[in-house]
Amino acid sequence: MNLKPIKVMLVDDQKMANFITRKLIEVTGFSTEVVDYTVPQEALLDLSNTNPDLIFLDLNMPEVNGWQFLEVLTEKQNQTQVVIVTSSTSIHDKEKAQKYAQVIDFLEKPLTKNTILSLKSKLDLAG
Amino acid sequence: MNLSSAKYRITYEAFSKFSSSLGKAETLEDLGKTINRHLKYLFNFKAFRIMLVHDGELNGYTFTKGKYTQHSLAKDLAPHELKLLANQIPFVEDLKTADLPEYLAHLYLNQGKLWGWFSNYGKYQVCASIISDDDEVFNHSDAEILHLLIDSVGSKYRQIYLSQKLIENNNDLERLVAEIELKNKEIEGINSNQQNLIELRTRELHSKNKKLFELSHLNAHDLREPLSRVLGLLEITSDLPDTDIREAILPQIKESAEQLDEVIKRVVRQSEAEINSNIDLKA
Repeated sequence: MNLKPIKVMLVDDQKMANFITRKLIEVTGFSTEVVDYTVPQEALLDLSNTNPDLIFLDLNMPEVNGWQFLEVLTEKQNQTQVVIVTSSTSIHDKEKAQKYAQVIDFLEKPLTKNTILSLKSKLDLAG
Repeated sequence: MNLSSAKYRITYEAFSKFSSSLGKAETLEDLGKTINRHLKYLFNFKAFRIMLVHDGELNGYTFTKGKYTQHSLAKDLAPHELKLLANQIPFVEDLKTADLPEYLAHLYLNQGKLWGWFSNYGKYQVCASIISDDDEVFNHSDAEILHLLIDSVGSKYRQIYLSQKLIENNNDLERLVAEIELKNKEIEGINSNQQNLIELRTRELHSKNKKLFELSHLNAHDLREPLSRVLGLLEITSDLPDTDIREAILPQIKESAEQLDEVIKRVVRQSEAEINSNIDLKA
């Protein structure tokens, strides 16, 4: 499989969640370049420096939640693609996520290797 | 022109004036005053009495020269009037001064006569009586003008009577309308209370729905968050060496399982609290 290198930013207040996602990304060969943040404000501040191709974004976070994070991206006219990664199964959250142009997928935790591989195939087809 | 036709003409002119005045009378009192003013120009009399019976009600007047008395009670009917109402036959009979009733005791009769007539107009009946004597002579030729007087007074009396009934009915209607308005206001008040009650219940329902939504959101996220970490950690174990699993993954699985346990306990506590608050509200 001929992959172009992809840079991924993980934003989840749970350190352990980032740890799991990072491992899955590594073992599936999804990306070799991963930066992770447990504080969304820091992720937003570093965005112009890290310049990721894709953001894995949790919704339920204290202080700045996933929705507010998306609002900031919209205000900044930042076009970085976002994959929502959440433990929420709420249909309301899914519908709300569709309203943001940056959101390309809505994944429910727990992520599995198959989930990551499916996402990779989707991006390959799109790319 | 002989004397009789001259008298006839003068009498009818007098009656014409009487009719004109009668048209302006609006109350039973006006009616009495009008008759009293004109009566002496129509025929001779010592006393004239007219009693009108209508729907079981009695109204009438006794006129002597220059003054009159109004009647409205059944006990005011004289014995000869009761007789007239019973047999409806007109009469004329001698009357002595000593036989005059107390309210006419001031009169003196020179060969007195009592005349009586009954007229039935269907809806009302009229008894008319005249006391005359040789000084104030009433004779049969005067009966024609007397009957015209009875017709006019009877007709005017009925008009006044119906007009008063109409006013009474209108007053009754106004009272009813006022009562209905009052009831309408009461109904509006009740409706308004019901509206308030509905709004209150709606607010309660909104509040409960909001709590249920929050609870549902809590269940959806907080319960699944630690569970998904456990499952996620298990997912990556196959790609890690045993030592990493033992030293890094298993402690994290334990930690997540403990967090899951805490969340379950919290959800159960909140659900029980919500159920208890609903029971308290119903009580």
